Amino acid sequence: MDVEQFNDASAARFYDKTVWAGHQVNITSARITMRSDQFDGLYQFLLMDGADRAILDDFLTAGFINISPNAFTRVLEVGEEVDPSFTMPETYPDGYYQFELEVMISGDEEISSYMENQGFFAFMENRAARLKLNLPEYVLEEFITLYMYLYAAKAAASVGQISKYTSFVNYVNERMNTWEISYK
Amino acid sequence: MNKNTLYNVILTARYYLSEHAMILLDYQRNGDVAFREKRNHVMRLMLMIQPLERHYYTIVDSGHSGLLSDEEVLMLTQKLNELSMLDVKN
Repeated sequence: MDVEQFNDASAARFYDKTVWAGHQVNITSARITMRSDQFDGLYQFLLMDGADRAILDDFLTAGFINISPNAFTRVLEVGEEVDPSFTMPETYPDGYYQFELEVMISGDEEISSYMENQGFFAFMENRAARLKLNLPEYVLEEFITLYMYLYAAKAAASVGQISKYTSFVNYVNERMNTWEISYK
Repeated sequence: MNKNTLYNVILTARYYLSEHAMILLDYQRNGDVAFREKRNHVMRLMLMIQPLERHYYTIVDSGHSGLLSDEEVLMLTQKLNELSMLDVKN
């Protein structure tokens, strides 16, 4: 599984990279769990509910499925560990996200689990884009450097290097605050 | 190169880019003169990973061949390996 956030933070695209991607397999259940440093709890939803394979088939055949934060209100099954008071915001806040896809295939006794880590930075990137408007020409190099750190933060998040991710994000925020760059 | 192998190449390259960028951040905070050279290094890594990422996502999206030829993917991968290993501390 790979996850890519939309530029306006309105949704995220989940790519199916599992070993059974694109193949017809007899899946009996499929669920995604999301954890983030932006939330206290977990959030889960089913890609498949009993015989209704609509969402899962979309995931399998198209290679990806788009999931907006609002879509998380369509929770079909809530596990014990899920905080029932948890409410998703309208958009994905910037932060570190971990997604776990769990799949049970008919005939198999074990659940296959696929993890993906991701840094979501839609708002910070929109903020960084405004640096170009504020910075005098002679410090334009800073814009390039901050862009590199943002890219590095995404790279670090995708390979689970959380402390590096935090260092990059903190530095970018620190510098954008110095230049008084705000988002909206 | 199949898409799963390609994705592993991308993940490895991202790991090393993050390592180099961390060194860059240390240089910057300490006012080290090596900052500029290291920044160019990170920039090169970034500019090589990005076309591979676009290539990969095109394959995943379309299910067909990506943007780059096999030779180009191989060349970028080899160059990335060389640059990734260069001057990594620890």
